[in-house]
Amino acid sequence: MGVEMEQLLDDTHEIGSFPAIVNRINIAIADPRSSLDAIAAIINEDPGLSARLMKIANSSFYGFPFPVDTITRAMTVVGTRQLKDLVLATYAIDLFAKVPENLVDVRSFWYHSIACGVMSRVIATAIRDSNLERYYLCGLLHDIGHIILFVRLPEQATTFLKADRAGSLLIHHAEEQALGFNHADLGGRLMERWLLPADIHVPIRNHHAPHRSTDHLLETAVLHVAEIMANCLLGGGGLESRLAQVDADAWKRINLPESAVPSLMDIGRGQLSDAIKLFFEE
Amino acid sequence: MTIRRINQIELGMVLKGDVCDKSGRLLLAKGVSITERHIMVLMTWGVTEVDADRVQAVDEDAVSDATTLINRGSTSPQVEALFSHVDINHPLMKELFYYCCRNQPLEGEDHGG
Repeated sequence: MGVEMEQLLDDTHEIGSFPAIVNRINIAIADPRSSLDAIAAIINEDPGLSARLMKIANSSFYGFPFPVDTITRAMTVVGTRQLKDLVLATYAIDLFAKVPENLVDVRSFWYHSIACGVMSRVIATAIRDSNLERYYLCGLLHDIGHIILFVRLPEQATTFLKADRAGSLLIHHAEEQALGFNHADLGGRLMERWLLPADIHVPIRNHHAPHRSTDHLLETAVLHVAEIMANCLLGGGGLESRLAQVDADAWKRINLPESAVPSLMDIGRGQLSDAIKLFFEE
Repeated sequence: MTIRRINQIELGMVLKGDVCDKSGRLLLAKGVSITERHIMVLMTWGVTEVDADRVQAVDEDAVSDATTLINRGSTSPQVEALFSHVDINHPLMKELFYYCCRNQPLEGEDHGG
């Protein structure tokens, strides 16, 4: 066995961490004395971030009837609660660039991650949870553990991928057999080390085994089901080419009727097309 | 009257009658062409069936029942592979199986290898 999860994460310099600006924005948002202008000023320090934020605020997700042309206006449209998560999401995208292209179909990985983000948000909307961007972010980041495995243990990670394609073992089972942990454990632990909130790292850690969550049970259940649905939307895109069986308790916890599924899938399908355009159009 | 359950509604179908919530409040009016937003409204208000129909006639041979698809051996190898590790007797997995049989995957990405 030999590889300890914590050691693997200790050595992961190549992945880096979220830039300091994220923390500064969060502090500014939390401070009741900060003005929108002060927060906007921090955002404007990173032109990539402000450009992406403007694009998102102008997108059909928010349906604002007039063009959003300033950061302060974008913040009003998006709302400060959602803003924190959106900022995180834009930097999360940068992490995806670390996936080694010779080993993994990077575009496929993106599509799967975005699809999972979209389906998480669609399910969250259907169950009338209000913090939709939090669900989106969870979905977007849920497979980040795969990136670590491909960067740090490329030969083994490739073996797991091959087992999945051959149909002999689901990829996360192959990982567990060989390492004693899987990409979900790894990703969740990394997000915890990067001080992301528990309602993000706990669901990520347990998205293949939702019964393990002792809190944030609903968020874990949603992420678990969203990934299965995302795989159906893409016909098995991403790293997992075959579906995992849904955890029955997780589906019960979400408490949606099965008859809702086709509508949820159709809505997700539409939003996924838009989301992909948003990320891949420059 | 063409009463359909929510999961049988296709986008673009037209409401044949007003849809009201349990207290009689009008949610959607007759004549509305159904969009994703309308379906979300219906689900939010707990409406489970409406009177709606397609605008044009559709080929009635178009298969909508997954059991028939399975029995005819008409599932694609891609869908078979996708569901190869699951038990489709679970109600969610069954619905997803039906969905995958009826819909092309997005982007048409070849996930093999």
